[in-house]
Amino acid sequence: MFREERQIELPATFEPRFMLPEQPARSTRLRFLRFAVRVAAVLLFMFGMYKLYVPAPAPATKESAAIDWSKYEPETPEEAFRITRSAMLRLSTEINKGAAAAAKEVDKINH
Amino acid sequence: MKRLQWILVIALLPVAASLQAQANAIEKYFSQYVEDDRFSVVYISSRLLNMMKDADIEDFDDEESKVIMEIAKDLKGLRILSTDVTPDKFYKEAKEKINTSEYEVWMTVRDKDGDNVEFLVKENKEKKIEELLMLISGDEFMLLSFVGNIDLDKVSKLADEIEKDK
Repeated sequence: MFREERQIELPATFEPRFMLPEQPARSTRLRFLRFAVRVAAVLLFMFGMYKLYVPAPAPATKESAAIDWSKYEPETPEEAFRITRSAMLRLSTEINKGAAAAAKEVDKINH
Repeated sequence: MKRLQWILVIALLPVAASLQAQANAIEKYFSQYVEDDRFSVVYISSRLLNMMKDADIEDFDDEESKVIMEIAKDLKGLRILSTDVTPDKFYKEAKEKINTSEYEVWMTVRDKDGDNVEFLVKENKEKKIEELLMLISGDEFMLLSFVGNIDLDKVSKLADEIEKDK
């Protein structure tokens, strides 16, 4: 059986690739692993940067979704001016107070 | 390499989005107090600030008012939250809540009566103040949030005008 076939000689140019033992897909797996590690490293780095530079979110509050600020607006520009004026005067006075206190302390150090 | 670039872009999106989100400190940290009966809330919108210029307001022509209007024209909003209920407790709570990596403590003033005032500023990329917070504790707790480009030179000019009037 198959006597004729057994006598057939293979040509010298024949590349017996299919006769080699089957190679496992090791290199493909390694390449994928390397890629996955790189992606993980990038994500970890990004997460670190995010945590470092982006402020932590404010503590969750029920009402934080949307505040209807218009409810708290004064009804007239005159009233708005009066409030703005007193807010700014307070701001200015407190800044001055702080600056004066700081200057006094600096003077104490110098003398 | 292209895939890596896409990964970077996707990973950066939430960061960029969170940086884009512009909210004032009261909305961020104290929204639960806005509806609280113990607190008084006032909001002056940029619309109202603009309307003030055109309004026929008494004593509007004095130097002090002119300086106030000069500062107000760069403001985008003013929010005031105040209460006389346990002011020291709310002052401490406010200091704990405000994220100091976002708001830099600019100045703290404590007088001999034990009243505290703390100024915090939030700067934009150009290092200009985009929000100034003033926390006050004494007889009452007050939190003032000035949103917009605050010119501190003009603010100190206002203090000079007050001194002149005295």
